[in-house]
Amino acid sequence: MEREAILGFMEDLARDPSAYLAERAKNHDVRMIGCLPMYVPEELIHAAGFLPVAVMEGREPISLANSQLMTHSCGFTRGSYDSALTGALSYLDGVVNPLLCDQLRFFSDIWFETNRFRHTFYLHLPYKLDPNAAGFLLRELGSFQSGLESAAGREMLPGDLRESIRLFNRDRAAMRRVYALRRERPGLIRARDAVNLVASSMLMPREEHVALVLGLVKELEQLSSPPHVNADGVRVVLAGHPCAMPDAEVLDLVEEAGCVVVDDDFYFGGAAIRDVLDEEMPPIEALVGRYMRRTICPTKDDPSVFAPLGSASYRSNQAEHLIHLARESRAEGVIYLREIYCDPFDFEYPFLRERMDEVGLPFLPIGTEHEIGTLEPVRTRVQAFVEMVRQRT
Amino acid sequence: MRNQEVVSSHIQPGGVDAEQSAREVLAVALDKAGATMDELNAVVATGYGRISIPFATRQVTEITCNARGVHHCYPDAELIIDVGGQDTKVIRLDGRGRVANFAMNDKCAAGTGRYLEVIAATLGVGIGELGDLALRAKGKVNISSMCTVFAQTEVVSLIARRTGTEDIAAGVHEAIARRVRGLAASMRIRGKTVLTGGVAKNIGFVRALEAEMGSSLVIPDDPQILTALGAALMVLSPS
Repeated sequence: MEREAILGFMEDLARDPSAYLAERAKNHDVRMIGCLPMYVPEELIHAAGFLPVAVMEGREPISLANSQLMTHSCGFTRGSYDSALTGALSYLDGVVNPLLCDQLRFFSDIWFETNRFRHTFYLHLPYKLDPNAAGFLLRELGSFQSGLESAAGREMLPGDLRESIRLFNRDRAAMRRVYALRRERPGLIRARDAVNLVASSMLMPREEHVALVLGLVKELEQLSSPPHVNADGVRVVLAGHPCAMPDAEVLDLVEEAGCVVVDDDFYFGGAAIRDVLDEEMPPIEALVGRYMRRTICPTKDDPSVFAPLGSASYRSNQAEHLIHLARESRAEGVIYLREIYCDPFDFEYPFLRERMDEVGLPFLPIGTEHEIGTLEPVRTRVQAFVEMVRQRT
Repeated sequence: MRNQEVVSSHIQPGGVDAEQSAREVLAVALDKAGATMDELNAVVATGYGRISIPFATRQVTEITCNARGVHHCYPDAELIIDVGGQDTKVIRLDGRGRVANFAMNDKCAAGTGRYLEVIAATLGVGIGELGDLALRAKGKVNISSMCTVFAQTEVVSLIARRTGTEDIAAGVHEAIARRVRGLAASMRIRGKTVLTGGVAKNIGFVRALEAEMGSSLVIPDDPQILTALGAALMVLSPS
């Protein structure tokens, strides 16, 4: 399949997966478990014989959901709930809620009351990332596994989970290769292509996805020049926008307005592909290890980041991670999509901002929400940011 | 401009057609200067309609242009607060006329000139009279609504309770000053602050913001022209 066709397929799938998934559920007898964001161990679901599928925010204006959810619920809870109410998620056999934040914790009662899925799973992922919580997570994943086995009607075989981890590792490695190619030669793919690449991995069987990605890698390696190059562009890392797909129009605008995206740390992006799980150790422990050591998120409390009183600037592990990414990719700045009504990210933001100012890394926040509205203010911000950075050099 | 001196200027309300408005305002300015279009070496477009001006030789954001224009007139300015008709911006300067940091409020009309227009209409006064009205206040009124539309409702109920329009006007200016002050605080700087934008012509707002910030503000003679001035300087004096 050609590069354009692969990217086009991934874009269509990420934009609206419902038709594709409904057809697969019906004709291929595939049972699907919807994963609410974030950090659900998809490998475990796959090992139990299901297709793990990301539940998406959707792009339609909210209608029915507003009758039961406050309008200041985050875009993901309102959008995904609206999809469920319209029956757009009927292809799901079950849903797992990782109880990520207050929104997902309390909204789950509303969700599960009005949308009766055959199987519902609550996954109590620990809030505090310290060794004491690892034992708890191990038991929690054990319960999740039992629940999945019961839903599947069969037990997992020894080796099933290891195989799944291997497969997901391969897919992530292939996607990392695309990201590495983009870092070396920005403009090889657009920012929206990178996001679609990762989103599509969570919306289709990984076995098929990895084949597509390897085909894409081959084509990208052979390209003599990047199709979307901007020689004067300001090199930026994109971040923020947890739980849901960032708007393609906003990503396009960032590039149009004078930036070159060299990396991203989105949930549907760089954050999902960076982990390599150890394939030799007991598989369930590998899943625990990933969660405990690699979750860089305001929804979690990471004791290793907590700084003594008075050095408040270090209370954002996102900050250190973004600084690291910017250095690795020789970025000149960070553009951060702040999803409106996201409390955990809002409360960490002042520390993130302060740390960016401290190290002198140009940083542009852009507020986003489910309702896109007009993009002109975004264009002005991005262009002013580009002018500001260029005037320094 | 010619040799960094302003030859003529003109301000008029922009309509929905940015190109048309630009042509009109330029025509008047050229007329005042006794010059014609082909004598212009460059035209720089800035502001929301800047990408729609086909005869512009360059387009630069109003943030960068405002910084340039303010620095030209006030070389020691450290902070700009720009309160316009539909958005509010704060800009921290680096001492060389360049933007060190900026923040914008453009998601919400509260804290912009639009808010004052709505309230002026509700109080039955012209927008140019609103500031003087506020200065005649005798009592204190707190307008608590965050939203322009609901603030209007609040004003209507105050009028119904026979609260003096001067006191209401003062309360409204304090409310907008609080919003603007909050945005300015995000720049985390205290220093010479210049107020630009149409709302800077409102004396009631200026007093309220100075009281809120606890310091005096520099008000340019023509606070609405500085961004255009900065735009021209972008080509006349690039560094």
